[in-house]
Order: sequence, then C-alpha cells, then structure tokens
Amino acid sequence: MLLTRRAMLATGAAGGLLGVARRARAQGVSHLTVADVGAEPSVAMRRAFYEPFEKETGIAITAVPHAADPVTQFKLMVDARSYIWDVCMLNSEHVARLDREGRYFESLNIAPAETADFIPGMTTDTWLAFSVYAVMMAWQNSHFPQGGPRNWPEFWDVKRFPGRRGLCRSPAATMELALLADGVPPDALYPLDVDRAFASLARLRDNVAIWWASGAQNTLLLESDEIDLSDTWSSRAQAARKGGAPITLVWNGLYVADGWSIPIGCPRADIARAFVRYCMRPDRQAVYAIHSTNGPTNRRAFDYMRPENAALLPTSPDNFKGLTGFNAQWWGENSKWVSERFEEFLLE
Amino acid sequence: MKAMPEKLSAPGLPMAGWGRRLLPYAPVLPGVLFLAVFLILPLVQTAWSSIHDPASGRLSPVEFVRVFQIPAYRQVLWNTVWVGLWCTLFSVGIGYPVAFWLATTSERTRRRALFLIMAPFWTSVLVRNFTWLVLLGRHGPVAGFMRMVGLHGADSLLFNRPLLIVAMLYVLLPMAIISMLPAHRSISRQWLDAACTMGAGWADLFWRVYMPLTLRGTAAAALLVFLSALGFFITPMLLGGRHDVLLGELIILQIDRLQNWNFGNALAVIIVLAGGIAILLTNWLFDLSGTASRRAAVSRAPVIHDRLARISAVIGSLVPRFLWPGRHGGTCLAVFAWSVIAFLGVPLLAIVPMAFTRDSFLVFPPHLGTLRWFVTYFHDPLWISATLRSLRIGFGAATLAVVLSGLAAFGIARMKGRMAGLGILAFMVPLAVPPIVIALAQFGLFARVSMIATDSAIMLGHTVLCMPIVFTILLGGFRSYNWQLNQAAATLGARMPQILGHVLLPLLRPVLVAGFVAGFLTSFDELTIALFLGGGLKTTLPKQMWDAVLLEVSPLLVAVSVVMMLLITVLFVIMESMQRNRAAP
Repeated sequence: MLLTRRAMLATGAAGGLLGVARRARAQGVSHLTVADVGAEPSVAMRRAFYEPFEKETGIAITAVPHAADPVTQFKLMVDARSYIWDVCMLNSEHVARLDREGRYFESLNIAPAETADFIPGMTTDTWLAFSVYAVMMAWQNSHFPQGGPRNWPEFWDVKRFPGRRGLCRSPAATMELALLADGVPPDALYPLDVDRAFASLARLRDNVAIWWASGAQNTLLLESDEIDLSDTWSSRAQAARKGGAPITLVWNGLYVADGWSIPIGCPRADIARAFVRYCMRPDRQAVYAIHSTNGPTNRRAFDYMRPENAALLPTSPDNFKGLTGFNAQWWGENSKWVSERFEEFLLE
Repeated sequence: MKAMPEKLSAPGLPMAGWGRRLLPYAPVLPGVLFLAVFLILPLVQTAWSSIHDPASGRLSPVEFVRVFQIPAYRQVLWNTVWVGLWCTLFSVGIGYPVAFWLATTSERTRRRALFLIMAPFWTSVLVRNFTWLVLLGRHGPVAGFMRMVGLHGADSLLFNRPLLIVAMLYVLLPMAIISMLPAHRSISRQWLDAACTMGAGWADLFWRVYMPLTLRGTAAAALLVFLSALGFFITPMLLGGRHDVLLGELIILQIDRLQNWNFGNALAVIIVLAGGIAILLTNWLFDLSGTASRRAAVSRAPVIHDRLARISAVIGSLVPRFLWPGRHGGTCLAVFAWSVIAFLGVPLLAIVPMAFTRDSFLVFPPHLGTLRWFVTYFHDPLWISATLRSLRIGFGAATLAVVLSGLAAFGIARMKGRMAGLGILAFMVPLAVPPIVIALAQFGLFARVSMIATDSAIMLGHTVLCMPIVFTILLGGFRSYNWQLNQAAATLGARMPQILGHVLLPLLRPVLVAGFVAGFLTSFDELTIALFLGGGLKTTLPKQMWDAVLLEVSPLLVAVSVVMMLLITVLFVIMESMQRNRAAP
C-alpha cells in the first residue's frame, strides 16, 4: 500500500489528536490557558488555532493577553509556581532573555524532521515560531510623489528625502537599522558594532521628530499623517493601509518571529505540547497569516492561500529577500547595557 | 484637644489606665496594619533587593551610586522633580481660585461644576492621551485654527515638555481642586462676616483671614499633586519628546524590559525617598498634621503662618487699587472658574463624537453616523465581563478604603504631636511609590499565598492605592468637624453609637461620599496593579483597553471610554442625590 507523504502526515496528525483527547481525559485536563498578545492577532489565532483545536480534541482554549513585554510575568509565574498559563506566546528575544535567567521552558519534543518545511531558525527545543513580522519602512505617498526612500541609507539621507521622521524608542532593531543605514551589509550585522550604530544614529537624531513608543502610537501617527516616514511593524503598517492610509511599505529591514513556549513544571505540559504541535500545520498557519498579516513559518502554508494574500506577508519569498533575521541571541546577551546607552543617547 | 480621650470614654466606659492611653490609637490600627501587610512588607523586600546582590549574597550600594554617577540618570531624576514642581505650581495656582469659587457658589452649581471638573478622571488615560495626538497633530483642529489666525508653531504642538505638563495637568488639576475644596468649605461664612464687621476690606479678608485658613489644605493639595506627578509614565511615554523621560518610565524600562531588578528597585527607593522628603518638608512648613496651631506657645508653625500672612498682606497692599476685584470680583471669578472647567472638558468634547465615527481609526473631526463601535462593545463578552469586574473591584476597594481610612482619620484628627504626623505619613506612603513598584512588590506577596489572578488580589492592591486620596479627603473632613458637638451630644446623654449615627456620620456624609467616589475612580482607571495581579486572567476594563491599545487604537476604545463616562455619571448622580437632603455644615 502506497501512502503519499502528505496523507501519512495527515493520518499521523489525526491519530495524534485523537490520542491527545484520550490523554487529556486520562489526565483530567479539559482546557488550556494560552497567553497571547491580544487584540487583532488574538482574533486571528482563535480562528486559525484555538477553535479548530477545540473542535478536534474537545479541549477548550482560554486565550488571555499578556503584558507588552511578558518576560517579567513569565519569570514571576514560574518562580512562584502558579501556572496561570499553559502556553505563552513569546518572541525569540523574550526566550533568549529568559534563557539567561535559568531554566524556564519545557522541552517541546519536536523532531527536526517535522520542521523540515520551516524557515530556518524558527524552532528550538523549547520554542516554536508560527508568526513572523518585519521591522520595515513606511512613508506617506502624498509627501513623496516621486517616490520615497527604498532603503535605510536613503532613509538617513535628510537632504534628498526631507520630511518628518519617526523612529522606534527602543534600541532593539533600531540599532540594526542604523547600521544598515551606515552601509553595513545585512549578513555582517552581528555581532553589532554598537559604537558605529550610535554614531550613525547620532547623525539622524536631531532630524527625528518623534520617537514612538508603542505599536498603536506608530499606527495612529501613520494614519493621521503626523509623520512623513518612519520605521514600522509590518502588520501594523498593513492595518493602517487597510484603514485607508495612503502609505507605501518598503520591505527592507529585519524580521522577528513570535512563537509558543511552555513554562517549565506546567502540570498540563503534555496537552500543551499537543497544542503547539497543532500550530505547526500549514493549513492552520495559512489561516492565521491571512487574518493577521503576519508571515507563516511553515513555507507550505503558502500552498493554502491566494497570491494576493501572500504578497502582504513578510515571509513570502519576494518580501523575505529584503529582510534579515533579528538575532535575539545577541540581544539576550547585550540588551541591558545597550538599552542603557540608548536611554543616555536619547537624553543627550 | 488634650482632654478628648478622657471625655470620650467618660460616659460609662471603665478602662484600665494603659487601655485608656491606647484607646485613641485603636481606630488607626486596622488601616496601619493593612498598609503594613500589603505595602510595607512587600516594599521592604523591594528595598532589600535593591542593595542585595543575589549572585554574591553581599550587600552593596552600587546601584544607587550608579544613578548619581551616570549623567543621563541624573537628568531623568532632575526632569522628574522639575516636571513635578511645575505641575504642582500650575495645579495649585489654577486650582485655588476654582476651589474658592466652588466653595462660595450655590450647592447646585457646585455639584454640576464638580461633575465637569472630574471629567478627565472618567476618560481612560490611554484614550485621553491618544486624543491629544489626534487633536494636536499637524493636521488636527488646533493646528488648523492656529494656521487660520496666522500663529506659528502649529506643526510642533506635540512631543515637548510644555505639552507634557499640560497633559499631566488634566489629571493633577482636578485632583488639586478636589483635595483643596474641603479646606475652603470648612471656612465659616460667619468668620468672614465678623472680619467684615471689624472693617476688613476685600484684600484683608482674603490675605489675612481666608488665605491663612486654607493654607494647610492648599499645602496638602500641592503635596498630593507633587507625589502623584512623580509616578507618571504613560503620558510622558506617549506625549513627551526624547528629553522628557521621567523616573516612572525608567523603572518600567529597567524592570519590565531589562530585568534589571536591582537597579529598578534602587530607582523605586529613590522615588520613595523623594516623596518622603516632600512630605516631611511640607509637614514641617505647613503643619499638615495640624497640631502646632493649637499649642501656639511651643510651636514654630504659627510664626511661619503669621509671617506668610504678613507677607500676604504686604503683597495685597502692593496690588493697585483698580485691580481689586471689588463688586465684579464674583463675576471675574466665575468666568475664570468656568474657563478652567471648559479647558478640562475639551478632551471630553472631542472624545464623545469620535465614538460615533465611521472611520476605522481616530480622526478629528470624525465622520459621524454609526453605532457599530457600541454594538461591538455590548456584544463582546470580554469587554462586558471586564466592565463588570472593574465595577466590582472598584466598589470593594473604595468601601474598604473608606472604612480603613475613615477610622484612621477619625483617630488621627484628634491626635497630637509626632504621633499624628507619623500617622499621616503612614497613609501617604502609597502615593510616594509608583504603582509599578507596588504591583511588583505585591505580586511577590500574593504569589506566595496563591492569590495571583484573583479579583481579591486586585481589589486589595487597589485599596492600597486608594488609601492616600481617600484618607486625605476624610482627614480634611474630620479636621473641620467640630468635636464639641460630640461633647454636646454626650452631655445630652447620647452614647457613642448614637453620637456616631446621629451626629458625626450625617455631618460627615458629604466627605465620606467624596472619599468613596475618589477611591472608586482611582480603582476604576487603574492599570498597572490590574496588569500584574490579574495575571492575564482577571481582566479589568483599563487592562482590556491596554491590551487593545498595544497594537492599535480603534474607535472601539473611544466607545468603551464613553460608556465608562456614562456609567460613572450615573453613579455620580445617584451619590449626589443621596447627599441632597443633608444638613448644612
């Protein structure tokens, strides 16, 4: 009997899920609590992951939004052994920072072969990425009728492209953009030359009108035409464009991945693993990507969507070319002193 | 008041000698114990970890040294104090005449005006700040108006220090007015009449009678504003320029982002110390504990009062005669007060229409004509459950705070000397600690007893936060209360419960209600504690808004904010109608 690979995976997945339902009953687990980023992405996740998972396994999912930076909450939760979350959405930088504090995650037990279709670097033993966003550039069409900057050296060029600039008030990713602007090739970014990055930032500093501090603020500033050009997050910029803001997105910058992790010692870890595994499925990732405009990590997800949907996503091949992976490892090791210097730099 | 305790226990309460001595302190005890458990204990741990290095197990002041060594951090410290002082100056300077006007105007007008003055409290801090971004943007209505009349600077209204201070005033000014009001209202018309009879002119009346009488209340309000200003972080983050970083922001950065607990805790300790110094200084200058003036001979405070009064009189005599308000004074004052109220109401005027916008994001003026944001809100179980939880927690926290601080204010108002000062200081401590520090400290406490992600934890946390403002309001009321009424009632044969039920509480009801409202509002708009102690599971309304705002601010938030306003309006009206037939003070 011949089985195609996909059919085998499908039966395997179905068998696995039936097994999960049985195991959950045996362990007395009837629901999982998932901490995510809330707002729109959470709606997309409910549609793509939570509801189908509930339907297929009978295990209810409660989604709760965590703090903008969940590291503190996560650390305190594990330290206090009060497992209010079974699965938590963390980006690679959060994971790197928590890894430096000690052992905070359960192993996911995912074999390397299972993630063969994934973009490299999207899984570790304790973390599985399912969502990718880009730190990129956006500018107002009305301000640049002849076309605006196409890359970061041009963004830095205030003579050729005058206008009101916004830049993120946080060193992570901003330092990388400063280095790209200074001519550092994308593949030679890490380890970051921090002195060079600050020198580059210093050249632009007085031309930055707004150091934005939150995604919502950035979106509002773009929508209300308060800034002419700015760095932005891909899904936020897409939301602004969908809302009618006449802006152009430039796929040049960095990509950052968000994924699932399970707190170590979690009593429902076994079932939580099954949920994480469920989020690897390409069809589920495709649904999530279409509704969140965040890129899927499983490349086969693009088989399940139309080209016009794929064109908006950071991980679709055309857009992905211009993006460089954000090195969370480096930031995990250096974020303390760089952030401190960044604060000093802003106050100078 | 020295004889008070004996007098009180006189009607048939036999007491042992030491028991009689301790009796006056008994009402203060529950509140102090509450604060000790839910604030001081966790804070001591915080302070400990600011000097204790867990890696080496040694104690060192290295984190404190760093704050003062690195110029950027010195700058932040200086920013915080400077912005706080400006806010204090403006809040008190603008708030004083308004409080005066409120105290002298008719009951009806006062109620309506207070309702509007508190409006900024009723809009979510997030929605308000985002409204500023819309209103003052380069394409916003204010910039448009400025261009129309040919004013410069329309492009750069946002992201600078003056704007930051104005935005902070929206919260601090109502706070100042409300906390000054009891002092103004406690002044008997008859004293002023007496002064008039004795030939005092308007200037004399104000500078030599009215001003000294309200000085203490004003100082307390100034202190309250300054201490609150020390802990701001959302407003400077969203509206400040790159130089306008305040300590609160820095703590969030250090603890929440950098996991730099030791340094964050050290910064927290510095804020606590700065607040403590401000409290002690104000107490020393203006005798907030209210003891010295009764023992004139041994206190230096009356001397200061006299001097201030004399300086006031001199200043008063320097003001040219044609500037004296005279006959039109009342009108001028009313115009001023109503312009301040209008100023406070502006964001409200902008926010309400934006809730009916057809656009999918915030613009002003909005394209009106849809109720869909309200429909979304009422059909979303998440929003509704968050609203109900906020109401429950708010009522619980306000009630607990009124009971605990009411008892304490009752005790402290009749205490004397150092003990009273200490008591007041104890109840002010929560104000001097930024909510993020309280939240983190309490997380450790509640985690140990498995109370994280419970409504009770949030409620207890909020009670701590409500305590200073509720206590300040109640203490003002108890201070202005004429204790001889109790003695009179006792002479007429009333026992303690009767005195409480028929004399003290009815007379103090306006103050108690004001304290309750203030406590409820503090809890209803509180974010940080709810963020941490809710553990992501128990979501209050501000927390739900914060989650929604993380990525995008949509008109839905504005609609929620409008619903919040309506809800509070209803509560306010109910409480006001309860007060309507109270006895005149």
